[in-house]
Amino acid sequence: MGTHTVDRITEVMAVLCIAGVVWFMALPGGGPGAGTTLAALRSEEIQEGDLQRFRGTLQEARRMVDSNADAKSALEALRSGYPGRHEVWVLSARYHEAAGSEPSAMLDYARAVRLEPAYLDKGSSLYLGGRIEAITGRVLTLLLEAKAGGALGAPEQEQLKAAYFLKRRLAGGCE
Amino acid sequence: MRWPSRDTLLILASGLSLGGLGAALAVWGNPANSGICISCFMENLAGSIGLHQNLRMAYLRPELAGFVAGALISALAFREMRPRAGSYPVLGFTLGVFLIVGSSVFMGCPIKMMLRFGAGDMTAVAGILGLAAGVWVGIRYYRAGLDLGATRPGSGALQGILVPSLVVLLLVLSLWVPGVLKSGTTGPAAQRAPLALALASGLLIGVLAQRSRFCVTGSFTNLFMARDWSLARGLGALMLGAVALNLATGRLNVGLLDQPGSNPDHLWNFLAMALVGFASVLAGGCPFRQLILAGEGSVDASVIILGMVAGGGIVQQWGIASTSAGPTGYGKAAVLGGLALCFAVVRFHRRS
Repeated sequence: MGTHTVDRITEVMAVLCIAGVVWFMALPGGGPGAGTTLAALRSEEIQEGDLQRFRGTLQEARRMVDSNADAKSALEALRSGYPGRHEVWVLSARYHEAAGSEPSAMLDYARAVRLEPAYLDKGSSLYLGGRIEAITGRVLTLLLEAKAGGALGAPEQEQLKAAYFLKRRLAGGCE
Repeated sequence: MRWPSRDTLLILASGLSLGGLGAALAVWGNPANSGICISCFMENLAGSIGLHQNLRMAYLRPELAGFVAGALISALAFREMRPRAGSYPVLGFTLGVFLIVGSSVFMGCPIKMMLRFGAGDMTAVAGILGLAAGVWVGIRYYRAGLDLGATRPGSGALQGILVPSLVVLLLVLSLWVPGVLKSGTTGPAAQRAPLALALASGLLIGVLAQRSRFCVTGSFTNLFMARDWSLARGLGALMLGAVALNLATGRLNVGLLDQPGSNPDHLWNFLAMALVGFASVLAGGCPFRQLILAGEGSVDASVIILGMVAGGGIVQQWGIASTSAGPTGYGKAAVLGGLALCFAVVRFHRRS
């Protein structure tokens, strides 16, 4: 290959890479990376006045979940208003668990773990590893059975991704 | 049967110790499949000196000081301490940053990549192929006339040992004045092998790697450039050590989707390690080899290490490092930025 050709190929490769950088930087939240969206949300600070309101709403929703009252609308408001708060997703997971919907509970636990890894830290006051592991195991078994029986739909695919994310995190290693 | 030469034995011992002790350090307390990971250790070091705010990744790993000190002791003992420097310090620093960028998007340096593979993590395959591809591309450019200048001896003994001494001094300081360096109490930073075992392992590996010149990317480089299998044997020994230790401790788990410290995005795993391979060829060795070279007095390697420490801070602080959920958008942009830099370097440093 001639010198001229090598130079042109190199220049094209460099330009393509730079175009890729611009593309990924221009996308909202730093691009479509699976780890980005929630990480971007996590950085959203709640203002002092709003923090009081958030705590009040969370406490009320927690009371409703604990007393088996219908907390659906309260949780919906929390999820849409404070998607970057891990407490919301854990409460939502508990609600789904109590309602017998383990796949939804597992999805919410996965969101909570991405926002706050300490939920899987043994020794942490937040630790929920045993509970999350048990639910993930049961849901994964069902999903793999369903997969063996035919193609999975989009919601099940998302559940499968969340299940494997939790399995990887439960296995330890660097984050 | 002919008895292997002393050099071959040293390479085999080096690979075996990296694989065996790498797997053993995870058994002794380091994060799973991350018994030895230079990029993780650099992120830990950067956190411990406050270059990023993620306390879960802040801890000065004694192994790091062990590698450098081992290489330094060995180089002094065998009269191989040769202070020397090249011509492109800023380029070296930047390549150091991107060595960590690529490794953090893959979630591991080339050594951890092999350790992951040795523990049955099949997501490492994309990384191995990517690393080989990156090295292959880099070598093509060397063959086409790439010239980054020769290193010159006699750059001053102080310059040569400054960075290795600083790494060792940081460890001494952290032990002497507890609390002077940040040290996470949760997450990977809290998962530690006992100090004595970590330091002894680091020293032994440092000595053997200095004597044998073992390097993961160097194995591929020699293979592609000269069909020289000598270093590749070390790679085989590394795998053998890791598989044997993982089998013996019940940690061998062959699979793709539920592996610790991994992400499932094969395309970006490939590209990230291609960046590491390409940058390693330009830098003259993988991240681990840079530590050993610095211990021997290479000022170039010392500058690259400073770049790797800065990279450790950048990837954590800017959200470039991948998580178990996958690579981030910034991580993808940074990998492409690194590849663009490598292509720019080879474009402007080619003899016509």
